[in-house]
Amino acid sequence: MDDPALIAACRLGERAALGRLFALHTPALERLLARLLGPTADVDDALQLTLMAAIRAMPAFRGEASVRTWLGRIAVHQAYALLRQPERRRRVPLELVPSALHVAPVDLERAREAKQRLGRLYELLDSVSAKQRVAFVLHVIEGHSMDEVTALMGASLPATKSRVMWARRQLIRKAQRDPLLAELVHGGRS
Amino acid sequence: MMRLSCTRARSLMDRRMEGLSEPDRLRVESHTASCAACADHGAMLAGLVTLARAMPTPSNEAAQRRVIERALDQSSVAQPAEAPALAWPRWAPMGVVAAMAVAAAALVMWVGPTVPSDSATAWRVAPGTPQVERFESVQPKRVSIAGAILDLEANTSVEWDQANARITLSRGALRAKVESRLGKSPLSVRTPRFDVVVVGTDFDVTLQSVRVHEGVVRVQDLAGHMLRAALTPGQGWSIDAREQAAVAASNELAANDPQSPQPARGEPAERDASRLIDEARALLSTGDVVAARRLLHSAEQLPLAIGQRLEMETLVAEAHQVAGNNRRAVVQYDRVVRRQPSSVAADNAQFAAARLTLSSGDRIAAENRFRKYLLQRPSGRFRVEVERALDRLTRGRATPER
Repeated sequence: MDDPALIAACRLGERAALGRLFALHTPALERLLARLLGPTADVDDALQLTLMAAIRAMPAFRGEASVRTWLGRIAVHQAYALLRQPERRRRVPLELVPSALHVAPVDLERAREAKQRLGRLYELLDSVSAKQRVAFVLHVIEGHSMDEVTALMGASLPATKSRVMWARRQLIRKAQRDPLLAELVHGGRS
Repeated sequence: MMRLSCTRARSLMDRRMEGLSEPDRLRVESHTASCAACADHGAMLAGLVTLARAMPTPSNEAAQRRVIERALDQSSVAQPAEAPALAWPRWAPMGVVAAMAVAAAALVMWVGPTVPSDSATAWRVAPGTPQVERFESVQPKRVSIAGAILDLEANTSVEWDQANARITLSRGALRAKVESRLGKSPLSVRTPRFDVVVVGTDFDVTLQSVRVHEGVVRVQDLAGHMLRAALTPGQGWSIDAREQAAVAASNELAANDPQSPQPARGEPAERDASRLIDEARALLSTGDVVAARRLLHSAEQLPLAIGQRLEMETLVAEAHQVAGNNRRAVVQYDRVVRRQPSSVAADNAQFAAARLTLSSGDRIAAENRFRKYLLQRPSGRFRVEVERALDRLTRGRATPER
């Protein structure tokens, strides 16, 4: 539930209020951006751009949607803008995956494999168009309903469905051909 | 129960995370029990979703707080004295707000979409004028420019020249963390005595020294002559008295001769490039594509002999191949062939590209590539293999190679 007093203070540009509001929503925003962009150095930039865009847009925020949805929409927009940059597609991230995956520290081999698989997954996602990728991640990975994805992306329902379908089709076809990711079929069945 | 089509079943599988209704779940299960392709599809999708969802949040709470602070600083929230032009005038009447938003958007686009500026001054510079921002720190301070995070120590003074992608350190010391600049011009940090050229790394610079925490940098004098071809993590370099004299002499020469030659391909640089390429090859053989690419990208920034360049480019192609991106690998192999068509590397690359094309399932293109190989390389090293592959293809008995 959004606190009206906090929102009102944010609209007036009070730094402390904005800081509190962002602190509440930043973890979710960062997770969303990481899943949209992949584990790259872009996530920090995208998060900062999202917050800056939110600061600019805050006076126009009418409270019709929840702050979470509103910030989510801004984050999706920023991620989409980043994904559309051609140079980003050529860029090799400094560190594809943070070192601390959720695995036991002794199981280095599995951690390395998980890192490689995750990197490979996002390489495959890089080959999907930005719109299709965003729709797919929001619906299939983040678990938003089609209506929510439609609202987040500002697209029509048929367009959103079509994007998800095409992204899934391309991704699965490529993943099935990939020796590293093909092993997931066995894991997924078990 | 009505039987589902494969398309409908796969569409329902997308909603696994959202949650399926009980009837839908039963219909999907019934369908996958009798359709192996959809069962594989579902298992793969579930595996990919689990993989993506296992990705941890990239930063901790403290890092998130820093991002919030940077966003507030850069939007000039509650800093009217330092940046009056951007001092949160957004509660003004709507017309003014709209006009300012349009102007801000235009300026942001002009400055560059991923280049958040740390200083409000950058937002007010008119297009077409040289854009140099100055940052002074009385106390330790963090600033963000062009994808680089700079931690300035107390009493540090730097200038950011966007046109030349150059940070000039005139006083104090800084630590820079720079994201990969692949596809962009390398960023450099200039001190009065030397330049540090960086393509994506984490390092400290003072007026006398450099220490690298991550990635690779090279150090050169102000005329562009190489002082250290590559500093790797844990390595440092400082300007000792002898080098100071040499650098001073070199800088003096450079000042007198603006057309001073670019650094020659000195042996140390080539040795460093060879080491980077060797390490990249070793990493690639373990499947660590990311680390290998990072080293290859660093090697690319060094002056390379033609043999080293061909080797480096071949490894880039192999990295694509290991990563499962055959299309990019083929493009890269073609680049190797074009660069030095008569070399052994080109011979290898042309054959590798044809084989990859075949393994991607495009038999017609593969056949064309194999024929082209025979035509262009009548005594090529892979002539026998190529003839065998062509024979299989033309008889229609070929199966895609793995």
